[in-house]
Amino acid sequence: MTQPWLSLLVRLGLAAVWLIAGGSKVTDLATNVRSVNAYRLFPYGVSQVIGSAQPFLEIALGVLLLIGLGVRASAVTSAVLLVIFIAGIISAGVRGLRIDCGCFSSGGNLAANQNTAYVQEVLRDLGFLVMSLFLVQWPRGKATLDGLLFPPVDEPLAAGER
Amino acid sequence: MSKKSSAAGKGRGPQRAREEAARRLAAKRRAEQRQRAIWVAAIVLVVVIAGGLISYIVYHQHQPKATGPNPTIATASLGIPIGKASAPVTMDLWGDFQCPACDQFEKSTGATINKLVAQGKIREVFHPVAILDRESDTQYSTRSSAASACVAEYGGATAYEKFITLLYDNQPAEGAHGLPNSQLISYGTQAGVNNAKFADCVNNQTYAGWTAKVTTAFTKNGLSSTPTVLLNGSQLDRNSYTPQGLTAQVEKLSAASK
Repeated sequence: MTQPWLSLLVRLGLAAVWLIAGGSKVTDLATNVRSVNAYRLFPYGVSQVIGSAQPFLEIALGVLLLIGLGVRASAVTSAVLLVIFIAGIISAGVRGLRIDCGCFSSGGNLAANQNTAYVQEVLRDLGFLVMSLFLVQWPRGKATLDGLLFPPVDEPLAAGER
Repeated sequence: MSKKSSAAGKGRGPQRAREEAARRLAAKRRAEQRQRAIWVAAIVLVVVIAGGLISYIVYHQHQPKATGPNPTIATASLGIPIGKASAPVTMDLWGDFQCPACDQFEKSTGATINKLVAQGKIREVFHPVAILDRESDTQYSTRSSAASACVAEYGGATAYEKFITLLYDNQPAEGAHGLPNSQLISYGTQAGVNNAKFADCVNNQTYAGWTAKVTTAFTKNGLSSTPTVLLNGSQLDRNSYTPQGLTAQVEKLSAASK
């Protein structure tokens, strides 16, 4: 059965995505607040809370996926976050904002000579969304803490069954 | 549990008993797992919420204090005005002295901006933000911005205009140490500042609080990169960040205001 290995691969891949995303922002929270505010979706105070907490939350999600604890819940959370990010990028594009999505960088407004990369960014996030949905469906795989803490409980066969 | 066995099902009774026991064991294990799952979920939730809260607190603590004096000539929009107040077009320029893109903009379009100011066509309002302190180990963005406020205070707008050019012409590389205060003082003097209090102002970072206000205003306005130019309050199209583009937009706006 290749599914357990596939789940492992997808899980580690998604973990890397979140760890890199969070890691690239955690050293400069002020800049992340700035890039959240650049989407002009929230009042400043809300942007401050979201922007400062987001890098840690991304790293936490990455760690949970890495060790395989609560894989299905983490996959659902990943999917929800990705849908929100995709909606945010589309909203920015529709409103004519020129920002760097800030997914793997500090983000912010684009410099004069840069073009918006909204289509690429949405496509990339859709790819991650597919990975998350795969894990929601097939969370059990090789080397998960879930497997250790919550091994499948075998139901004994009823009388007459083989 | 009765162990009655009829003659017809001789071995069935004990087997059923074993199956019963196994089923009960499975149910017990499932209940234990459910308990464990609740504990794990609770612990993870607490860690995540606590972490998010700590992150917010860390961010808040690191915010520079926005207290202290403002330079006398500073505008309510938190910038230094250069040029006639009667000019038909106001140009807000948000820049960071550490920012390479701002340096490029100064080199390509700085002279044009100064010319438009001299011609009375625009009133430039320069907002020295500090968003690149991470690019030096001496907080150069903040220091240079606060030093520029000292120039505005003790040298006025004329010295300020020259100071901007001097700082960009001698911009330090990112990821290094920035220019030392002594160098900033020297450039201020070169720009025309002639006041005994100027050096102390720079060394004491008297206007660092004002710099923090400028930077917060930058963020609150939804801006996040430098340079950003606004003409009469509207962001200039990025394709017009050139001498020709800027001049054309300025002419268009002045014509419209007549």
